[in-house]
Amino acid sequence: MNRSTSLNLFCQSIDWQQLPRYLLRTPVGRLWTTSGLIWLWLLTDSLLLQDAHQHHLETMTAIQSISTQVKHWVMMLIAMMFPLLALQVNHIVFAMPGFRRFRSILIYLFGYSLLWLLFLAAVLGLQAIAASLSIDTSIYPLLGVGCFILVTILIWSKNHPVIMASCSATMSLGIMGWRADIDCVKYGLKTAKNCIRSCWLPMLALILTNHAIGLMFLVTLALWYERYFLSHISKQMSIIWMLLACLSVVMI
Amino acid sequence: MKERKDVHNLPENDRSLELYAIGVAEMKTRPATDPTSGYYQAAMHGFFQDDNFWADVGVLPSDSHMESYWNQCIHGSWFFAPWHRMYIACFESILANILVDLGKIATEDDWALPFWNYSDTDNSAALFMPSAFLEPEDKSNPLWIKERNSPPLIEDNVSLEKLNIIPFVNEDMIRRGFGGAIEEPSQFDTGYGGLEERPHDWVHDDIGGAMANPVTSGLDPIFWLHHCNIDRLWQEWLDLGEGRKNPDDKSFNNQRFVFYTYTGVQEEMIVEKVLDTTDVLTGYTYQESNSPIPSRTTRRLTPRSRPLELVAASNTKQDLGKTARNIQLTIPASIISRRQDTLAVLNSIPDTDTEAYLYFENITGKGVTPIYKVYVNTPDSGAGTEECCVGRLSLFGLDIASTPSIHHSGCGLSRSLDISELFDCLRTQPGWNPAQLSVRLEPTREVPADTEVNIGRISLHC
Repeated sequence: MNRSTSLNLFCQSIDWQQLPRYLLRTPVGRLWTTSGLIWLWLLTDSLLLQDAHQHHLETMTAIQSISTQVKHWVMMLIAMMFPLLALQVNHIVFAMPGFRRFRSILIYLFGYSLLWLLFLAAVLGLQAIAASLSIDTSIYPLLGVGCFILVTILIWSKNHPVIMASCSATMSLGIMGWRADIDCVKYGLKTAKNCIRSCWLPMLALILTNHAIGLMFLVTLALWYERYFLSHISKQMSIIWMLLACLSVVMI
Repeated sequence: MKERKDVHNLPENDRSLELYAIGVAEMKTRPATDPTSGYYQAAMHGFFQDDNFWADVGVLPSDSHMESYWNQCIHGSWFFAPWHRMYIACFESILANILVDLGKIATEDDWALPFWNYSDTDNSAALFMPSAFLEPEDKSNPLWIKERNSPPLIEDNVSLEKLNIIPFVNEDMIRRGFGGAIEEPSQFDTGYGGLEERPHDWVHDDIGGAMANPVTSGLDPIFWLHHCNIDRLWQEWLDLGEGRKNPDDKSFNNQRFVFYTYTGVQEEMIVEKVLDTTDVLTGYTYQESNSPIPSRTTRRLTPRSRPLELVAASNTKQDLGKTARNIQLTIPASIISRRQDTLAVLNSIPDTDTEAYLYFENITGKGVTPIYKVYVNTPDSGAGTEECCVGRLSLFGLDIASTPSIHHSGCGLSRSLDISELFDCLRTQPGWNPAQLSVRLEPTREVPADTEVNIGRISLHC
C-alpha cells in the first residue's frame, strides 16, 4: 500500500491562500486554532513560569494539587487529542442542521473529555494507592518509559489494526431535542473509548513523566502522523514509539 | 492483443466458455496456499472462513500472508474501478497460462475472458446467465455454484443510467461521481460512485448466493464475467466524452496494488499504467456491444459551492425486519416555522425546483440482503406505488462493512438517493406537510431468516 497517499491528499486538500479563513471559519479549523492557542499557552507557561510553578506545587494542598492536575490534563487533551477529531467533527457538521452544529460539537467534545477525565481519575486513584503503599514516586518516569516500550510491542499485536480502524467510527445522531444532545454525548464517549484504546499508553507515559512539554509535542506529532498519514496495518509507529522511549530515557 | 468478447454474442464454434470451464476446473484443484488457485484468487477479493461457501477451503496460508494479500478488494472509493481492472487482468492471465500449460491454447493471448453485457436491450437473452453456468446443475459443471437466484436479473437493475454522470470523483458525501470518492484504498468505504452502485452492486445482489457477498463472490465463476463488463463500462463511459475523464491526480495515478502472476511472482501494478486497457499486462480491447444509456434530465440546481443542508431525519436506529417498513423523518412544525432561513426549502414553493437527496447512514447487519425499493410519502394504505418510488438500495457488502476489522470500523454502509423530482412534486400537492415525511423500504425478494438489517438514520438533504 502506498503510504504517501494520505500525505498527498492532505497537502492537496489545503488551499494555502485560504488557510487563515479555514482556521477561523470552519469547525475543524477552529478546533485546530484552539489547540494551537493552548500549545502557545503551555509553551509560555513552561518557559516563563516554571520557577513559580515549582514553588506553587510545593505549597499547595491535596485538593489544589488535584485541581491543577485536572486543569493540566484538560489542556493536554485540547492540545493533543482534539486535533485528531477532524473526521468526527466533520461528521457532526454533516449530520446536524445548521442551527444546532456549534452546540452539538461542544456537547460532543464534552462527552469526549468526560471519558478521558475518568481515565485520569483512575490513574490518580492508582497513584494514591501507590502513595499509601509508600511506593517511591521516583520510579514513575521509568514506568513512563515502560509505557512507550509496551506500545512499541503492542503495535505488532493482531488486534492493533482493528483498534486503529475503529478510530474512524461514526454514529447516527438524532437531530432534535434532548435525543440529539444525548447522541452527541454518546458519540463523544464512543470516540473517547476508541481513542483511549489506541492512545492510553502514550498518554499514561506523559502523566508519569510529568507532562514534559517537549515530549508532549513529539507524542502529538506521532499521534497526528499515525492518525492522518499511516494505514491501519502499518508497523512504522513501533519505530517512532521506540525512539520516543529512548528520548524519554535521556530526558529523565 | 486479445479481445474480450460479449458472452451472448460469441461467434459460432467459439471456445471461450469451454476453455474458461477447463481453466476454472484446474484452478479448483489447486490448494488455497497457491496464488494461482481458484480459492486464493477469490480470497484476494474477500474471505471469511466461517462462511459456508468456504467450507472446503483446506489448508490456509499464514495469518500474516492472509492479512497482506487476502481481503484486498476496494469498494466505496475512487480506486474501485482500477483495482478491479488489475484484479481481473491478473486472473485472466493466470487462467490463460493454465490453458497454455494444459496444451489447450498456444499463447496467453489466445484466450480472453468474455464479458456479460446484461444491459443489451437488443438481445432478449442478455438478462439471463449463459447456460454453461447453469447446466448441468451440479459439481460436475465447474461454472455452476449453488444458491444462485433464478431468474437472475431484473432489467431496471442493469440500467446504464449512471453513465450519464460526468465527473469521475464524488462532489461530496451525497452527490456521487462516476468512479467514487477520494478515499484511501479500503475494502468498504462510504464513498462509492455511480458505476459501483448500478449496475455493479445490483447485479451482485440479483444473482445472489455467493455473488451477494464480497467475501464469497469471487468463488462464483460468473463474478469474473460480471466484472469484465464493469471494466468495459468504465471504458464506455470514457468514450462518451463530453467532459468525462479519469482523475488527473498524483494520489490516484501513483497508487500501487500488489497481485500475483501465473509464475507465483508478485506484480506491483500502478493505477496510471492501467488507465488504458491496451497497457494492462499484455493488453486487451473490448468487442463492440450494444450499451444503451437511458436519457436523464440534467438537474444542477444547487451551486457546487453551497453544500447541501440537512433538513429532516429519522430519530432512532431502525430494524428493517423481514417485510416492508415505514420510517418517519421528523422535524417539528414549530422548528420549521422558527428556522425559516435554513428550512425554507421544506415550504410549498411550486415555482422553485430543489435538489433533494435521501441519505441512509450506518446501515449495519448480517447475512445476504435483497435489494430494497424506496418510496417517499406512500399513501395511507401503506403499500408503495410507482409514483412514490424514488429508487432502490443495494446493500452489497453489508456483512463485511458491519464487522470491525483491520479494514474498517464496522460502522456499516452509507447510501444516497436523488429524490429531487419527486420532492418537487410532493411540495406542490395540497396536503403537503413537511413535518410528516415518511420513507418506506420494501424488500424486492424474500429476506432470508438469518438476515438482519438496521439503518442508523435516514436524512433528507436539500
